[in-house]
Amino acid sequence: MSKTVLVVDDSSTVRQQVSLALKQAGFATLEAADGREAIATIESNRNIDMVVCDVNMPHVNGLEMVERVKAKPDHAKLPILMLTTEGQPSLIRRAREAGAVGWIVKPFDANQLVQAARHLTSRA
Amino acid sequence: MQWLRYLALPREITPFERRYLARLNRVALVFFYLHIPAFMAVAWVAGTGVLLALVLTSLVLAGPTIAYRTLAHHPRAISVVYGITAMLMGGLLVHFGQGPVQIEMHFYFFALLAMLCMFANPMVNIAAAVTVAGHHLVIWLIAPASVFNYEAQWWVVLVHAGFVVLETIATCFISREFFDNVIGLEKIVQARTETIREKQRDMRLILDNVETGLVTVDLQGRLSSECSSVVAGWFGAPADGQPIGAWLAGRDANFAEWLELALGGVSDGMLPPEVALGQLPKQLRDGERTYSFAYSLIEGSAGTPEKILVIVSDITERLRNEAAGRHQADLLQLFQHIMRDKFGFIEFLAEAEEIVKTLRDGNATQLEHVRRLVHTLKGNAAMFGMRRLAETCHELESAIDEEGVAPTSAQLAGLFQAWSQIRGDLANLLGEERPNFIEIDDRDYEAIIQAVLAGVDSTSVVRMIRSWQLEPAGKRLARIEQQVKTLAQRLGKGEVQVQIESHGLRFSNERFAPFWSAFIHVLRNAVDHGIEDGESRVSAGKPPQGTIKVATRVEQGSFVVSVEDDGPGVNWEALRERAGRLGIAPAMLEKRENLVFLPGVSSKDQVTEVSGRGYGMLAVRKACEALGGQVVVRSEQGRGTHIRFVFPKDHAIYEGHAAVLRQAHAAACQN
Repeated sequence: MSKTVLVVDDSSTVRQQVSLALKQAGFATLEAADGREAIATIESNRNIDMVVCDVNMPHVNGLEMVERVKAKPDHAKLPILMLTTEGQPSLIRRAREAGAVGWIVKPFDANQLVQAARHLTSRA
Repeated sequence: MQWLRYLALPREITPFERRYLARLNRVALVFFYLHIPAFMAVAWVAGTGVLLALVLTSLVLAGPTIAYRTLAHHPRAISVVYGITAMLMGGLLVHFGQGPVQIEMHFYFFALLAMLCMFANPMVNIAAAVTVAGHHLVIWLIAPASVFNYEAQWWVVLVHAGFVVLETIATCFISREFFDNVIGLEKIVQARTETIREKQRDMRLILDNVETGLVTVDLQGRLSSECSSVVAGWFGAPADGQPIGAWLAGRDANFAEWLELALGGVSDGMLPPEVALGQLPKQLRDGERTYSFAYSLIEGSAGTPEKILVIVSDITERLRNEAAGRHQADLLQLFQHIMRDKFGFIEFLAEAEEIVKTLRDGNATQLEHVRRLVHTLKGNAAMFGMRRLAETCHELESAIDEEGVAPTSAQLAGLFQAWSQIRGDLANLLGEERPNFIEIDDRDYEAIIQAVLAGVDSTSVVRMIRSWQLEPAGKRLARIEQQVKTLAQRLGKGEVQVQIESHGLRFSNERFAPFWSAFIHVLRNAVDHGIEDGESRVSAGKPPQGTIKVATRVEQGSFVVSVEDDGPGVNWEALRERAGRLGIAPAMLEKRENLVFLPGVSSKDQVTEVSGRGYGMLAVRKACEALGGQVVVRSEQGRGTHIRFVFPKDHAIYEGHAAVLRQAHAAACQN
């Protein structure tokens, strides 16, 4: 069965790009436009194997989202990969402390994203 | 011959060997001297003559003593003498040890033969073996009692000799090994060090001359001090173990912080190494210069990542060349636009200058005013192919929209810089001289001749000639046609039919300039919103190609500029709804035409660089009203939109040669 990745970004263009890259590599994807939507999706969907998440988003931003998701023991092992632009080291540092596994710099390289997704979903 | 080379040591004696032999030779000499009392004691016990033992032993000792005294510079030679001495001492021991244990005294030979290996010189072993063999044979022949305590046969002597030969082969081997691996060690180390040094020198030579910055860090981000000279020149020589972040922080703090963070990502192993490596920062800005950074993982013997090779290149020149190339292309575009429409261009220039001045002097205090100015400048710049200025304006406009406050001086600085660059380029292209000439075409020329020939009154003729100072509407409309076509192409609308009708009018360029520059928004709207895609047009029963008509005419004493498209028409409901959402007072909505001109109201959902922010139309209306004109919008859903700008006709408008011809005709009829 293919692994499911939740793609969280407020830009529909980025969501589309990320999803397309992952789908072409054989992943199933779900999308959410902000942290709030993402948390709701994670709560209602047990099949999510991994989350790819933007940092700057309206309502609940990426950092807060990681903190809230990781606060629940159920999701302790859910890998969350951040998508970020260079130039926000402090945010990334905090996201990592909160439990994000790593990050990919935008504009991202589709191959690297897929490689990371394969690596992270195969560990579970 | 090879075995001879094996037995003879290399000529050179290293300081280490010299020190070793000096000490050993001294100790050995003392050892030999101790034989005197020992042999005297043996002689006394065996009753073989204590005094003889003293004399003979002392005699044998003369050899090593003289050698030790005279051959200080040839320590190996002293050792060889000692080899001979040891065997002669053995002979003496066997001689003075005559009696029941005489045979056991032969142990001395074999023990000493073995001990001579200490000299690490096979020649010492050979010398000893030859001595003992000759000595044994001779003494056995002339004084057998001195050798054996029984009637030993010749083959017993042979057995002794066999032992000596075998042991000597072994001791030669041991001595040589001892020399090669211990005594000669210094030499070996020296040779290896030299090889390494040579390799290092070669490496250094490469590192000193390569133009790429090369340095390694471990996964904790600690630098190695070895690096190519060029990178040490750029960022200072790294200290061994210095964190790479600290090394670069003075150059580009953000880069350094990001790099340290990303190196943490590589070392924690959460992501595949190549992926983690891909997140390391790639460009460092240090003042005027820009460096590109590439990284390559160095794996240890176990295949695990151990270090990272950082490859740095100075790409300042490359970027500069690329920028120059882009600038050159922009310049070419600019030049083409100027050649195509110099009047229009000069007009644009004047207006843009005015806008930039207003922004620079801070005369635009209201946010909306600033936004309108930037928007107008953006549209005009795009029209004349000034991509950089247009992009800068677009970014500024987006920033204003997002933040809802007036742009900071830093934000405006980019715009001013882009503008001053253009001014500089233009000064080169055009020179600062503004052209000052009158343009007339053939029809004007024919008309004036006809008028004069027909006897039209001189006031009219003069008025006509004066009108030549005004801009021919035909020229303006031709420019507009070009602009519409360019726009249609940029917006992917394909070919658009453009019909222009100037009716031979002329008007004051100076007076109408602000109107025409804002007029671009109307054209943009017409192209962007007024032309549907081919399929929708065909299904609506229209020809696949859209048509836009632009005309100037005199109508009931007014000067009218009209734009007409055969597109989908204005969706009044959508506009009304949007305006409502923006909280615009219902009073404003009574007259639905107002909708088109409300700030921030646009029927587009997506903002493109060309249109969609809803400020353009407002700018046109303001420009029109400033000239005492008014705007009439007629639109029919599905059929198209017709916008008319109606201005009072005065001396700034001239009806052109048509009027002159009319007068000429009338005059001709009169005559």
